[in-house]
Amino acid sequence: MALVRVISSDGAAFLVSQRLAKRSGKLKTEIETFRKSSDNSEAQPEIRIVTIRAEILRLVLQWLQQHQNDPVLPANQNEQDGRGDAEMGQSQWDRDFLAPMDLGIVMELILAANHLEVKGLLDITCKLVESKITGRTVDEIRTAFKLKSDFKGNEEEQTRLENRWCVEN
Amino acid sequence: MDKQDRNKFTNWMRRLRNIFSKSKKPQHILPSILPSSESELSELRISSYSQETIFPPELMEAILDKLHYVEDLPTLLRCRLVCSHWKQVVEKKLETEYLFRWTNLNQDEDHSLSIFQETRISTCFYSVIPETVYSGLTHIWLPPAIAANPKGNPFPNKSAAVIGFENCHSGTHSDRACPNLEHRIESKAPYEEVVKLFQNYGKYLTTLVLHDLIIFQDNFCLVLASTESLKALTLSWVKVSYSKEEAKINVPKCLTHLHILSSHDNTETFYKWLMTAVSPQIVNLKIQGRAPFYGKVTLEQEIFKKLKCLHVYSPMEWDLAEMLRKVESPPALQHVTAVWGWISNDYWTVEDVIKFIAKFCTSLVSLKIHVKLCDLITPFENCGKIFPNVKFVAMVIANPEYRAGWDEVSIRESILPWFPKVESVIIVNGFNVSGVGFIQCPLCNRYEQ
Repeated sequence: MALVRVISSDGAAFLVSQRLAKRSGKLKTEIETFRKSSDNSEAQPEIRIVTIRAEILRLVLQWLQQHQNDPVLPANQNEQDGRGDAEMGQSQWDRDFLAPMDLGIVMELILAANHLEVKGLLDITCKLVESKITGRTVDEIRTAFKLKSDFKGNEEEQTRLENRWCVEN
Repeated sequence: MDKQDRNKFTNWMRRLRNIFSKSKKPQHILPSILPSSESELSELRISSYSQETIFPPELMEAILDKLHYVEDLPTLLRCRLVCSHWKQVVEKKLETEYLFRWTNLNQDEDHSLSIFQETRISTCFYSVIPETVYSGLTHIWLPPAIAANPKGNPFPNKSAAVIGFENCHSGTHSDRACPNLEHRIESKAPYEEVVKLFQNYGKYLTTLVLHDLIIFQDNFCLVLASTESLKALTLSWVKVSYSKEEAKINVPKCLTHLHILSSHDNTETFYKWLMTAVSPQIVNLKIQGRAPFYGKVTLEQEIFKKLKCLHVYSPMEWDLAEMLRKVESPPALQHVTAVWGWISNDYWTVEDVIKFIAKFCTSLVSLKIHVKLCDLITPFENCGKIFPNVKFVAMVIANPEYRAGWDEVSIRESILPWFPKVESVIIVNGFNVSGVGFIQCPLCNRYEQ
């Protein structure tokens, strides 16, 4: 079985099959680039992911392994709608996979899925974050996302007044 | 702790150090990507995400894209209040979503559906400020508190629809329609409020729908002059009234960003002004019913220098068909829709359409046409042109019985000689969206009936 070494930003190496790694658009490109530039066809590719730490990379690879037999989603599928992919692709395993994660981990996972071009994972994680936004007050959203208001002057009040034009009955 | 346990613990700690050490290379390779136990994984879950983490706007957009811009508008508006970054992301999303109503050229089934809808209906339905203006200019309802003391930009979604008289729907929508209603509009104070809103905040708009309106020239110019950021404009059954019959509109030199124009049944003088003012910059033009081509404004490349997309719906005017027949050098159009509804159209035949598109056969990428498959063959043979870059063809049929006999072979035989690179053929059965069914050609391996 052809293998590839994927190394996280903090130096952890993960040895995975190339078949599995190629489920990620980014890793697929890297492997193909390595193959073209390498004289030795048997050489094992080594890919450094400088933006993803070990824990997150491990989760991505874990998700890929679980979904290794799923059809690969085209990068632009439903991009205008944005709905559908997550609902269609989310299994009980996905729900169990995401359930124990705090929002910080999920946000890191989104960044990683985006960087590694894993559309299915990106969809379900984005959907999860969206569900944490819907129905919440502004303060609750700020707390959940560890954000603070950085509006200057009366901009926040002005924005609130603008919103009233659309939601006031 | 016995020796075996101590060794196990030491090994585990070494592994952890390797994982979290930035300076030190790992001493060994993890044999598997999976954790040896769930408890080990849980211990590793120490979130490093914080508000200092730079979260790319495109990912914030990906998250907010899961929210629907109409159904979840209250949530999106709340997100505007979270922080300045989120505000920017939401505003960009809303602008993109509303503009997409005009620029939808995607070729999958859902999007093709909306292409065949009358744009007038879709744009008005989805455009906002319904609570303030929807009920019409004669009886505009503004929330009393805001009407008394309006504050802030009323167009946070950068989109507005001003929709007028319901009773104009049954009129002829011409200069002759509702002749005595102009004064009623002008005499109503709320109308002035709307004009004032546009004067103060029209600069925030990127999309605007004016529908079913009779409006005096001066006020019309005030409204348009304030919309300096406008990118897409739908004008539907708009009548501009003048103090004198042949008076000219003072063209506001402001619509420099406008490149999408959707036009339905407006008055002649208005068209003369509009097309003269904006035709050189229009990229996407949709026409329905009355044609906006009068006098010297024809669909020649020297007039519509940037036009790429032309959608003609129900061209019921002889002048339009005649103009299209006479065009010598049209722009290099890439997307053409030629659809007429259930009304039998003797002005513009399939042959006319084929002759017209043959004038820019090399630039054409997608074609949507209201035609029976069997009626295509003779016009194509007569025109003798091949369309080498067409990748998408859609055909609309008004009567389900025309579907009989359409199969993979007949579609392939009819289409491929003229469109050698076609990738997808969609056949839309019926003109009403509710009655649409698809047969997708197996050229893209998705044949359904």
